[in-house]
Amino acid sequence: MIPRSLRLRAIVAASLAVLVALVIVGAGIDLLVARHLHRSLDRSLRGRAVEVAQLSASAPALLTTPGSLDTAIGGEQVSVEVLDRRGRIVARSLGLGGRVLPVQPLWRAVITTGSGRYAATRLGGDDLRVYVAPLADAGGPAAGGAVVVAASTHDLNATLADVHLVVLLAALAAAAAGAVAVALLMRSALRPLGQLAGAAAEIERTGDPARRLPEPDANDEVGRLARTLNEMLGALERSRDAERRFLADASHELRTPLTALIGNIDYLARHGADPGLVEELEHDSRRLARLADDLLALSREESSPPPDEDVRLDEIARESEGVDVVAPEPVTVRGDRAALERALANLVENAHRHGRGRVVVEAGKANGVVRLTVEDEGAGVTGEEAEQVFGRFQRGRDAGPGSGLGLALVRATAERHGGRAYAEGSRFTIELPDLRDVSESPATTAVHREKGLPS
Amino acid sequence: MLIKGRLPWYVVSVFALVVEDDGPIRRMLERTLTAEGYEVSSVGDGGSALAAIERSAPDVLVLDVGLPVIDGLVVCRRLREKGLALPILVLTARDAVADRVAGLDAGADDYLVKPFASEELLARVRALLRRGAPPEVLAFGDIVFDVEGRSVRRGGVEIALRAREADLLELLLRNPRRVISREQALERVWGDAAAASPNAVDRYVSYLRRSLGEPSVIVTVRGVGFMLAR
Repeated sequence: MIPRSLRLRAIVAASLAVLVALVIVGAGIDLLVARHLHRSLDRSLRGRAVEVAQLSASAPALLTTPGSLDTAIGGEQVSVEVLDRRGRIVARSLGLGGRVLPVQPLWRAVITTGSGRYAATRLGGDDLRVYVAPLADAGGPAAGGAVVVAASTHDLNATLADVHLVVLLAALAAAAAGAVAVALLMRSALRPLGQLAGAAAEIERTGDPARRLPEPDANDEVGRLARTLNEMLGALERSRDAERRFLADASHELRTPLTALIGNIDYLARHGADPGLVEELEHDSRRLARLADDLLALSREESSPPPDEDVRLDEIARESEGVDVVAPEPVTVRGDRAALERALANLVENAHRHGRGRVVVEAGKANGVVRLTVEDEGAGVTGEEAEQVFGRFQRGRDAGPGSGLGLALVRATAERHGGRAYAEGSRFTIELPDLRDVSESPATTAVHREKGLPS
Repeated sequence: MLIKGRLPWYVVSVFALVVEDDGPIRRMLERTLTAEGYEVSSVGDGGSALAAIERSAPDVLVLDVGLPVIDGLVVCRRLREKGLALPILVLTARDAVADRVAGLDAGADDYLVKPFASEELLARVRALLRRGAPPEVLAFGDIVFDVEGRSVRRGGVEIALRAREADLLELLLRNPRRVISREQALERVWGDAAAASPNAVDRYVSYLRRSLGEPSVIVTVRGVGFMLAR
């Protein structure tokens, strides 16, 4: 529906524009032609008046000879009347028949002022252009009188009417041509849009996230739109896949503690309890609770707003138990205290579980970033493993009692704070933007990536 | 303790190897199977599993798929490549059809999706143990026993046996490396440990020894029972 109405609107607009433009042009042409024709007529009338005036001065007798005033100029009948100083008709052209040109007020004014005048008048249903010129007081019957020259404007008006008609027809034809051109253009331009709409409806119907819209070859707006929409579909598919993977991983991970718990409960039902079994059951339940907590925390971490309280990392570091703390100066970040405490606790627990020897927690700042590091004396992780340990449900080779989400939570917390988490050997680091740089945190992160700091 | 449920009469003990990387699940499986009368040993990774199977030839393998380093499916495949036919039950936390198919294709005999009820685990293990069709002819050295005909030959010479003697011989032949206790013999051959005195077992063992002739293949393990040996 929408493409059709869009097409219709474009056609109407284009036709109207062409029509208006041609009407303006036509009106201009009309004006010019009319002026030209009127001037030309006026020049003829004036020329004839001059001739008659000369005749009146040079051969007054000839003036009254019948037919002497009936010369056609340019094929156009010009009527002439010669009046004396009292307004009586001295001579007139035969073309007028018995009619008298209605110029009484005009000839008086002309005689009074002594200069010729033009006027429009009507005679017997005919539109006339009239020129009245004074005659010199040089003898003859018409001395001191006036000569009246008149010509019909009928032909002139007919010519102008023809011009109007031509302009109007041309305007309509041009508007129609414009409409057709726009219709064709719109049809070819809207066809890919129609295909896009069809493909999008198909995606909506099948719900298949792997489908893409057809991309037209042309690099026009529709082509760019299709590409942009496909990129959007790709991003949606990736995020949907990530969510689905997370759900699959989460349900997979829930099965592990559940398997032990259900098996032990079955045993309890068949054989009764013993202290070892009770301990196992408690362990299984705690493990399940821990996993549920971590899943919840991770989902919260990924949807929480940016943190906005001032947090002293050195204080958090000093609260860790069973570790050596190195935090000589106050280190403040904009953060979420509970989340940062949990992240540090996870790192410490990780070090205790997978590392060996002394565990050292260090808080400090350098080069515009704040670092919270946890280091033990074990071999740690390297290369690919150093990246993998921060993934979800990644556990060490010895498969300890953790949920497999501890380090993923650390990374999520660091990223929510505009920083990052990484491991080098047995040294695990949370790197956050310094308090004064917090507004530029993405830039800060980018700069440090460029410097090639280990990740 | 004897294994409950329907297993062939001559099965006196089953050695099950549990391979599971998750400690609590491993302990739960050990506890559950032991309580049912299985002899259980357990390991936490694929490499140890292969070594343990090599060493102790278990009767049934309960194998987790998601093992670190050497995957459960790889363990399965290696065992089958070596021609080992022991029954394998794989445990998987993934229940997609593709995962189950992958397990069976790797050579597993059955699979169980975590979490599972212990009843089902035990029933499936028993089913696997029943599955192998018992051989019709049992042999030990130059002794050949025809299960269907209840007849025995030694060195090609037919030997006549009493019904109880034949049953006792079959029990010993079906558990070639194991010591059969007097109680087990009573339970399996006489049908009930209280049906006769342990002396009856000794009496029939000596009948059997006499019937089979020299050299004797039945060894008395002092204080425990009897087993076949050369």
